[in-house]
Amino acid sequence: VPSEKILRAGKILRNAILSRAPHMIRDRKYHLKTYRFQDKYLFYRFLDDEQEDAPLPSEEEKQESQEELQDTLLLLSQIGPDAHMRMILRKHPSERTADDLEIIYEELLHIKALSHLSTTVKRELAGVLIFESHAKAGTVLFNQGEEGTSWYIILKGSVNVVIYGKGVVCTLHEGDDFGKLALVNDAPRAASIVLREDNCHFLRVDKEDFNRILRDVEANTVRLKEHGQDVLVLEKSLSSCRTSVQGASSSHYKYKVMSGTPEKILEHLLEMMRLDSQFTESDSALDDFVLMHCVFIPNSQLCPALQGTEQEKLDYTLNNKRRVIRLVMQWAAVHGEHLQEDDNLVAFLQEIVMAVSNDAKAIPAIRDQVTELERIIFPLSQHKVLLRHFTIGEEKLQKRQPIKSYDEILFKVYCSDHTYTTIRVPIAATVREVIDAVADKLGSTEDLLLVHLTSAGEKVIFKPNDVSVFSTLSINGRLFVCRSDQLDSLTPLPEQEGPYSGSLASFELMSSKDVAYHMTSYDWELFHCVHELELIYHTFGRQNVKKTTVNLDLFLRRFNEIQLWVISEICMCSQLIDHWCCFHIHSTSVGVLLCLTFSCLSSNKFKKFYSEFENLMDPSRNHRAYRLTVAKLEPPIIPFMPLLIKDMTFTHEGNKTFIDNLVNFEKMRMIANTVKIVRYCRSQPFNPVSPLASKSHPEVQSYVRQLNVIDNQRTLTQLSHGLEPRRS
Amino acid sequence: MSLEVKGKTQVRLVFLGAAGVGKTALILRFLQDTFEPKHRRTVEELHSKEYDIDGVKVTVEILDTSGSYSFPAMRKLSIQNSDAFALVYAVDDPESLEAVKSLRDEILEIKEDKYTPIVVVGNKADREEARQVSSEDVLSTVELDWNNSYLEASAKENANVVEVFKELLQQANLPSRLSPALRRRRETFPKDTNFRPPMNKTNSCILS
Repeated sequence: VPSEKILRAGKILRNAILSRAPHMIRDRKYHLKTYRFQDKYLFYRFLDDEQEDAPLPSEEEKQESQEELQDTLLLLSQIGPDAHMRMILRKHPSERTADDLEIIYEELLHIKALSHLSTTVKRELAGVLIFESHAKAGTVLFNQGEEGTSWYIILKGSVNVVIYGKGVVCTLHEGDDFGKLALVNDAPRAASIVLREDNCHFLRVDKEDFNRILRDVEANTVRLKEHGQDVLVLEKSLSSCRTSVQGASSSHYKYKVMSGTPEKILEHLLEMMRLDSQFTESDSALDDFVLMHCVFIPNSQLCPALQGTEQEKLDYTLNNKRRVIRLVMQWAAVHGEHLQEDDNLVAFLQEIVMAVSNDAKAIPAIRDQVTELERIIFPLSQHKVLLRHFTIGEEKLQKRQPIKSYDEILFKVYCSDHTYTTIRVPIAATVREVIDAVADKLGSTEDLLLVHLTSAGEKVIFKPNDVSVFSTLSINGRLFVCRSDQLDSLTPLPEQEGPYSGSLASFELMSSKDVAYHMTSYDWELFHCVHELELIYHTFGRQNVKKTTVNLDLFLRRFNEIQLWVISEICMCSQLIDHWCCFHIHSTSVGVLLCLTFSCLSSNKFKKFYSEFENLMDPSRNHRAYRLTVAKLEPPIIPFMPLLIKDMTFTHEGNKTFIDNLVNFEKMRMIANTVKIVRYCRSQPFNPVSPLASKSHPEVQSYVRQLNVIDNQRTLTQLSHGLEPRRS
Repeated sequence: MSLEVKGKTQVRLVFLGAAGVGKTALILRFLQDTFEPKHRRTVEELHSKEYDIDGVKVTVEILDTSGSYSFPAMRKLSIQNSDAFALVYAVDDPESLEAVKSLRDEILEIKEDKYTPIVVVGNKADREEARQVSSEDVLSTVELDWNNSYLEASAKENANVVEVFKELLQQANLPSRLSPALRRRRETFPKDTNFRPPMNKTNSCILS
């Protein structure tokens, strides 16, 4: 039964159509059978019209429908994706199309209860899940002592777990699952499940399917043992079964690595590598390995392993050798400029090139690989040291280049009396090195602390082995150095407070299109500088891998900066709001931020305006609305990076890196897949057409690149209350 | 707007000049009475010291700048925010004197027609044997043509260092009320560049 709201929406829609274009309401059941909705005409049908004497809307109703049409359309578009999903889930499993299964599968990726299951199992589940909903709180899903028939996952709502004599023992929420125990053990239900609120949605897996899929998981698993210990676990992969129609691919390709020792995984991947395919066509498992190996087999171990394999296999066959070379090439391609940061890696590559070119004299077949290898390695010889400076804006106008960890940076460190010294250290400098440099300048021998002081006066003391801390500062945060007994006396600099007045005067002189253009291109520059590996370092904790993530930090920082900029400007000048309207459309990520921003403001004035973005950024079901929108976009895309970071952190924290001392390669694959989204987003160059190509708008460009913001939350709240007094 | 009324005031001195002429050495000699013969490149440092002059608390900020790095934007900013300038060259380096000339032009351009206290300092006066710039020539240029003050000093031997700061402070107008300066070429309004009245927040929105 449709809800009150939906019925109302339907009525408004019908009245609106009847008053504006009555010909669009038409029965099209003759076309439906042959064409489904694939012809170019849109027709509508309403339940009301099925009855003989459907009333035509009165003038009053027409008027009303005009007024409410916008809100209605918004409502419908909001529930649209959800409804679509539910429609698919209501279909009988045998009727679900490949597209349907894909949509369900994507949904499953975001369900907490399933996060430990492999992608294969999730794909299987997509085919058998059944949607179940209950309208009323208090409904009993099953009773303690009954036979277990199904496993449930909560999509929406919450339930109480009740045990006789004990009452409610716990409450389960969205993303939790229940009912598994009775299925696994073939035991009666250990508790009753009672709905805690109205209108709860569940996914259900029935016993038969549950057992088949779980049993299959085990049957599909191949374990390789050495000395009685598992060294490699493979799982049969469904997707490659389908593609093996070509026949040529060997049976190995039906299995994918689930876990294993680092050496065994490497060996396996080398053995499985196909040489007949083009180099450009990347082998995904290999790709995952190359991206993620820093987590379980650092370069310092990988290089000797590769070298060893190369030497040893040389005597066996030519193909093995070619495989190693290819892996090296792919590895070098992923690391790119990062290779230059480690002399050992450069030495390793040079050695490989030497060895390979020697072999090439004897074996002509690998000659073309030699040239490819050389192409990768020769640009490496230029070992540049760049000097950068973050505090003054002039060089921000130049196009950004990725920052490398051996680059050097100049930055100011303040003392408690607001005097400062400027030091020059490598990007990857540790806090200890920074403190030493400062102590040297100050001529101080005392024990000093390096402190991050925010504009609100909060202090964070850095640990001595933190690296490149400058990029982790808050927007108006500054680095201070002091003795431990001075810590309480640190006060923020006046400049940390941010501007006192909005920049409406200069902002009004700029066209919103130009601002959007320059913002987007600056965002893109920042995004472009982020190395894929930085995402992995960030997820696994950069102090663990001893790498910097400066470029990523600066990109993430930009999201905060823009958000604060919008809040600051609006708080200081409410009229600015009109300008956003035309400009948010140009950049998804900026639009998304604006929306997030508005929701922080306690203001009703803008509610109407941002409701469409609110819809996009609706966080429910793991930002599904946003994900669906982005999935439809073509690269280049600037993704909402915090969300991707969240995904990876979620995967990282929800899955162990090692299972029984074996590398959990499934986890590596999941994280690599997120990294590949980033790769996809950047797979096309960003060449926007400047709105006014003839002009370069230096003033807009410099404005956009050096936003002055207030980042003190208390100041902002005060300003915002001043703008729109709190209603009592 | 007299100093006594405010009870507290602030003045910023900035040291500019080519690389290795001894800007940092002069400052450290003045503040800490130390001397480090080895040259280390400075980027930018701000020192601060409080003085009590006849019951008036005066914060003297001394900005040490870089001669080695070229950051025009940074230099511009430091010139804008400063009250008095020490332009330092080394007596054994004629090129560093050229740098002083162009720096002076830059200061005048940024400060426009406002009265700008400038003291030209010939450092390393102890290196008489290596001298390449005659003090008479510089004296006539600075005092007659430019109408600024000129001093020779040695950070190494602590000669004339305190005098440099005295001259700067005197020209920056601070104690001039207490002891009339040599020069009284001033504007009608005393300068207090660094003092900004706190903005009234209710007025911060241009349009409301």
